[in-house]
Amino acid sequence: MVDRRKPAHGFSDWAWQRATAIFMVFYSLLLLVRFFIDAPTAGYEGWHGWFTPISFRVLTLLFLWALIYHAWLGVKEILMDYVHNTSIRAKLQRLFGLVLVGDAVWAAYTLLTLA
Amino acid sequence: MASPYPKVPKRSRPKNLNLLTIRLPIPALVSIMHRVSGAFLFLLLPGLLWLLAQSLASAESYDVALTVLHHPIVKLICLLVTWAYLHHACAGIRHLALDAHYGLRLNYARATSRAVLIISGLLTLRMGIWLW
Repeated sequence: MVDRRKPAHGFSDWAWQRATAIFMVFYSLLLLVRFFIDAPTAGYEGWHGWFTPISFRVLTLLFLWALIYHAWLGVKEILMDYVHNTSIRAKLQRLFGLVLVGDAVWAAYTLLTLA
Repeated sequence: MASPYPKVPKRSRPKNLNLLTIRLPIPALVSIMHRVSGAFLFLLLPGLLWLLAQSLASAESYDVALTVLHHPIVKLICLLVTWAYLHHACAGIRHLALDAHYGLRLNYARATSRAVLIISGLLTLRMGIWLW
């Protein structure tokens, strides 16, 4: 059942799904390029050093947030297609939404508190 | 108000929803695999974040992450994640082209679907060779 009191945001969902997707493609290519021209040296020191530049950490965090928002839009679409009971669907949406918010906070914590 | 459409007599039409006997056209196969790979990546995301966090937290936790990654089953899951990511990305790029009305003709739609399967398959194979 469509709730007419809430604004529909089908178009913005559609646009954000694509905007995040394009960003992820560019980040993936960038990551690949960096891996070939500036591969991390073996061991913890090298790996940690790879993540030291703040620009790379911020870019990686933006990638993960884009991925998480993209996943949220996809999860909503899948639930809409297969779970027809509105109250069960709302509960599942809340559950998966909480998981994704947790993922987003965790990603930020991991990348921004790096010593 | 009377319906503006001509009356169509009701008939019982044959329905075939048996997934085991339906032969999916190749664009439909790529489409459902796009959805399955996306759902799979969503489910594995916490595990991947855990690996990233462990690998960066300290030298000891880095070793833990490395040991986990060297387990054969984890390696297999990594390969599956690679395939899911690549298939999802390739099929997604194809979607963007379709949004822009490129490749809508049936023969193009079939050819690009086949290309998505082949390209993501080959890149996954390359990753598999690198992993083992």
